[in-house]
Amino acid sequence: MSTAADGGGPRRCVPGEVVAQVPREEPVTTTVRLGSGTTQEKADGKTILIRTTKAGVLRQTGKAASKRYWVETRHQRYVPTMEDLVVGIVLDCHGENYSVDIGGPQHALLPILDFTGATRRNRPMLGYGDVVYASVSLADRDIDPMVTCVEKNSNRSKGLGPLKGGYVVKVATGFSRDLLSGSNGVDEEEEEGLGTSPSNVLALLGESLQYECCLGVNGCLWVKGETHAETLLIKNAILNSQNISLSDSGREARKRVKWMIEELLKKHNASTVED
Amino acid sequence: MASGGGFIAANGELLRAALLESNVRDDGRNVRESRGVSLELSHGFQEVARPNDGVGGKQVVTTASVQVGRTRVSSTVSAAVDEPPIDRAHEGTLTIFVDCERDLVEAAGTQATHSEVTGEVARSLDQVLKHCRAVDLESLCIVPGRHAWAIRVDIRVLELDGNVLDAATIAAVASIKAFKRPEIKFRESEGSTERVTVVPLEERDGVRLTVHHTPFTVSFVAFRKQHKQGDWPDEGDKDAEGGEDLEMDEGSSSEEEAEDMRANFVYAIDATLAEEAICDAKVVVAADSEGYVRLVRKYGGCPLPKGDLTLLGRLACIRARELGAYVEAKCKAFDLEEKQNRIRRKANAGPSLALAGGKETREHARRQVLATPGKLGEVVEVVEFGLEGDLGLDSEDEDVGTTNGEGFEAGAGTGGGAVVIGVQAPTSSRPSSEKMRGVVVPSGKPRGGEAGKDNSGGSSPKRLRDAFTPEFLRRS
Repeated sequence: MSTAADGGGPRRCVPGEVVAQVPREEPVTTTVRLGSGTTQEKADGKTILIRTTKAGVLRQTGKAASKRYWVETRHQRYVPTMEDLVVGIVLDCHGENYSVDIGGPQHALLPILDFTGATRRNRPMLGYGDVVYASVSLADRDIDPMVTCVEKNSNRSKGLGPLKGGYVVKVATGFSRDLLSGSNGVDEEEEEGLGTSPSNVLALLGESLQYECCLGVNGCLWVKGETHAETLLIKNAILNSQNISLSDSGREARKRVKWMIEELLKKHNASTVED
Repeated sequence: MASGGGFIAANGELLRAALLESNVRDDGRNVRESRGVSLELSHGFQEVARPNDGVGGKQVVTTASVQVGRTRVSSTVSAAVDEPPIDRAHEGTLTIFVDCERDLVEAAGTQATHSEVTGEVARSLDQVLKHCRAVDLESLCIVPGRHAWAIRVDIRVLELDGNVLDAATIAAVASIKAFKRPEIKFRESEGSTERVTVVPLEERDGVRLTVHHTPFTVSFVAFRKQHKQGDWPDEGDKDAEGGEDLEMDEGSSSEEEAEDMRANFVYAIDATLAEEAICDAKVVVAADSEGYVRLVRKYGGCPLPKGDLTLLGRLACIRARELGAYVEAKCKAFDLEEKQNRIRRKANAGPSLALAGGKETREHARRQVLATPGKLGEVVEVVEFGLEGDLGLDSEDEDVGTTNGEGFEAGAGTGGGAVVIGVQAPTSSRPSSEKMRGVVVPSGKPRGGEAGKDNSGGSSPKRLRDAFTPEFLRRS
């Protein structure tokens, strides 16, 4: 069904490549989801072609019945795409909408009632600097994107809504997707194991610290450790590992990330003992 | 980097809490830790705007680039002969210009505007370097009332991540210390007019500027404990917070000071951009490497107890001493390098060849070589150096007429260190065996086996050229 080799190494692609062909059947049996950097195109009456629009590494997850495709790039700028989970910072509150910075070309709009269980009377009051975890509900080239914190028709809670008390870091969008696919897989049937991804800094951090983490595909990460100091440590570890995983890969990177985390922890422990 | 207005707003509370509660800052430092400083010095050429001032079209300038954490600043010093100011006939001038990309400030996302950033740095530098008499302006005077040196310091902010002022001061001080202005020659006068000539740096080593003391600014940001808007500490507030303050462990000699230091402030040295944006007050203390406080400035914010300023002064002195030692060492190393380069240049051909930038300079060098009186094969100096890099002499320099490239090439081709016995540039052609009595002992890996034979059409470049013939490309 798909031309891309399943389970093979990462496939590099340039814009315009056909990565898969999906048959158009009357009773729809396959669901293909297109992530950033991919687009669909009708070839003839029977098949739909899936083409890349960006240069990078093609990623795919899921079995044949429900497949996802996206292209991993090193872009800094986030381009909103439907149903992306993003971390945004509230900048302003207009009458009906919050204006949220999601790192894109325009600020996104978040309707003030688009929170799970929110009513006119009872809704989260957000202000400048508050952080929200939201999914993109409208993405178009010509109008401002919309995000929403309502979890509709899903049986599993994604935890959308305001995030409190953590630290927001900005990393490259490619790196945050790396983190998502490497260690915090979007799907249960994740193909890549924890050990193979170069950026398993989150897993390595988890060996010694307890923390909460929220990854947005827009390159914004929200982290929260048990103490403020730990939060900063986690944030620094993630930022440092970004440079490590860019230059190295595989085992070597893992070793370096581990060493870096150990160094940070050593310093952290020394400073807490001092107090 | 996590910057920009939204990010600072989102993270400000946490940063403040982490700093006050557990003495941990944005990048994992504690409040007494500074970021790493690196300094690089270099010489370069600059076109002079006014070529009729005696210095000529091109001029040697000294540049210092400083990196403090992620902040990068460069400072360039140049000198020109100008008229002294009317009201100070016996002094030269020192002018400081600060430049910063507008986008850089906007991208940083703090409240500070472009002109605030540059203005603040320029004003502080002005006070530190001129008003505190760090640089002796009187020694810049050539003929009172008529000629004086105008020293220009161009500060350029290349990257912005907090504490620009400290970085700018280090850059400015280092570049001023490393700078040499050309020497001045007084020609015998016809009548009563004295003729002043500027001796180019290629001809004679320049003169250092007189620097009385080397001040370094040390910036602190103050964070108030139990942050409340519009509620500044008064007398009753002082002993509210027990004696657990972080300042206490840093020597408090007298009772009086200890009393003052019990105030509810935490001072962090060398702030990052986010910390600068969320702090309650900013204090800049300039101290020199001898341990004198030269300047104390406080930019806005909430009032601070006066005892704290003594503490900050003491901390600044410690930091300034460290910086002073570092800058001193760097300047010395740079000096040594320059000296060796100079000798090496002299040994190889005429002066200024390694500096050779444009064609003019090389022309000048050729004239120099032709004019240099020297005996054949006279050994001028024996130098030992272990410097990396190219001498700036390549096969192109064989057009220095009378000197053959061979000897130079050997010297230039050694990538690592080498012992060279320098030979004065010969003035006429000689048999090849006597061309150069320079002995070259390469200690590093030679750059290429054919180093000496470039002018006879070395084999490797030729092969390289062959490699890109159309036939080859078609084959592959």
